[in-house]
Amino acid sequence: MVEKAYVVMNPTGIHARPAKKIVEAAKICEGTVYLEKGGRKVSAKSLVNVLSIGAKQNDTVTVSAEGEKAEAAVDAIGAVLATAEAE
Amino acid sequence: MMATEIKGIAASEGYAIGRAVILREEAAPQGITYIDAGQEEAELTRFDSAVTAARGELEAIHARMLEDGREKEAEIFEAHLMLLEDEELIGAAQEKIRGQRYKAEAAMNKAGEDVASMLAALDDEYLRERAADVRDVSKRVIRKLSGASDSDAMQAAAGDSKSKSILFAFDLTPSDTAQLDPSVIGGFVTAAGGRTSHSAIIARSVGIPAIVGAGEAALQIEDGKLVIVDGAAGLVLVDPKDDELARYEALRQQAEGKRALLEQFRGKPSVSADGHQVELVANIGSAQDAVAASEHGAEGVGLFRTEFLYMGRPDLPTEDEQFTAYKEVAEAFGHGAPIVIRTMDIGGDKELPSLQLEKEDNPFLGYRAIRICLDRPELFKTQLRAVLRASAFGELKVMFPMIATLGEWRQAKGLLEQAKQELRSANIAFNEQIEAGIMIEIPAAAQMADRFAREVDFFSIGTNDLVQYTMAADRMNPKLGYLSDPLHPPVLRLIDQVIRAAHKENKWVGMCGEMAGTPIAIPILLGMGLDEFSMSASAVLPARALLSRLDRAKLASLAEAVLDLDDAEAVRAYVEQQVPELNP
Repeated sequence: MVEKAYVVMNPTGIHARPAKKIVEAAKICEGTVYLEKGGRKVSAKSLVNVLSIGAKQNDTVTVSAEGEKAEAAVDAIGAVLATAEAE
Repeated sequence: MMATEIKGIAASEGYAIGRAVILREEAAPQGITYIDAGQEEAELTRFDSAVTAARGELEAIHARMLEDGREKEAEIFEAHLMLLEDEELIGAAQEKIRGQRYKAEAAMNKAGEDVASMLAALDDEYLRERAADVRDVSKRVIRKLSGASDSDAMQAAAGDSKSKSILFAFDLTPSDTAQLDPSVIGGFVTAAGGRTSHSAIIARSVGIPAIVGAGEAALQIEDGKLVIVDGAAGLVLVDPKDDELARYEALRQQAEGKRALLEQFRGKPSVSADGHQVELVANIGSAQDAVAASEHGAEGVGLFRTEFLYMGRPDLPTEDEQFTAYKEVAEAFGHGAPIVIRTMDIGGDKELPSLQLEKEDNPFLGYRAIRICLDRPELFKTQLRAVLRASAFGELKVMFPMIATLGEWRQAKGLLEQAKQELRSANIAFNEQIEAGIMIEIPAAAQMADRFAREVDFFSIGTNDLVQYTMAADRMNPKLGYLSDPLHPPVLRLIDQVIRAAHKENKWVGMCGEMAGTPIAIPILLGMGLDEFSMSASAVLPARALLSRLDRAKLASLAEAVLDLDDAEAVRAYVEQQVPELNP
């Protein structure tokens, strides 16, 4: 299993575009991909779930994945989390 | 007999004349219906093909939106497509069919409602709005299950191409609104909704006149009736008479011509004919205004009058309440848009029950704005902390009103530093580099602008007060109108002096009085080198259009010449004569 923690850099947190990108990145991995924030762990392959953790700027989010291309998926999600993208 | 009228909330300006088309809500599946044991697989197949059909429909809409260059709306449908693959939504519905033998319609409805109510309960306005998208997607799937295509009434409306249709509905979903074709739908009227509802926002961006919140009356109308939509007044005229029709047809044509002309300046930078760029931003009083200002083409906010958060209530707004309001304003604009937050300007003509201010003989010369704030630092620091916290979400700047002396500025700046320290110790994020500036509205500060310029990050000239203090004329007194004019050379000289002083220290200068959006003043201010013009939102596009015709280099001498004229009348006549671009 791959597990890494990231700090959310986007000023508006994980909203529309970043959330969409996270789901796309999660789908790189064939197996399971999770986001965890404040004890809440959700599947990163669901837009609803990714939105529902309500991650804001400076929050720490732990990404974990298991299965083929787990590492690639985690890194791709990490890149989204660590980017301050304008919406 | 006069036409029957329906009143609602003016959601999108403009006039439309056409035949009423009623968009009837399909009834949501009532209660839960079950399938027989053994039918699960067949029902799942039926469900999956409905999802596939819905996907095809969404992909087609998405492609059409992109083709039309409507990227904002296209993004809504990208999200819808993603929801259509979501395990929490579609997966949950499949699970209800497989595990609990729900009928497909009931399963989709229940799964959609579960997710929508979860999102609606979250403490985030953006996510709450997404609940509408989830419901929209589930409805589309349910519609596919019954074999229907996109709303029949929309099709019917599109069918009659002779005259435009006016759509009447209880409410419009985001996909209904985004699909409105302005060449077929002249306008719409909904029973529910408010000015910031999704449908109202899209109506304004597409440019369809719209009235929302019209209540039951909007649904009582008969199909095919001739109606007029007055989007400016929030009024529907049913069965209008000939003279009303003629009047509105003239208004409609006039508005259309003007609009087409201004439309080309939306989303464009504010640049003069010779390539000098300035900022055109808006004066606002609430987060709602910010949404409207962004739609009107403003690049940001030059003045957020925060006192409106304090007014009309018995208690003071909390830090959290203020934080939310400032953050919402920042979010209404894109990332990096400048948002100038003016700390509260209570007193003068604005009273506040919760502060129990004493009545004064000369309130405009009295205990007001920064004078109250410095006297009551706890009240002030609550606001400063809220502004700082919101600065983590956008390009916020803080501005102090009614500064007369360097001492006042330093004291205010000191309290800002204290507020920063408090947040630091509490580990709360904010922008350490937040700009702090002052309003120049007291002649004393204008005279000392060179000294202030060394310490502040920016100036914003508040002309309404600067004029009344310079001319010693109460701006509320109609008899003194001839004095209350920012074009008087003594006022222009102060403005010129302030701009020069700031630029000498490489600081920027804005203006947030009415003058900044007044066409006759814009050539003078551009010539003087003003960097930021803040005005009411509706003045932004006309100002940008005017700016594009002006040559800044040529106006420098005009800006100097007006300083030597006798009075406002002479300035007005001179500018009108020298600047033919004012009346193209």
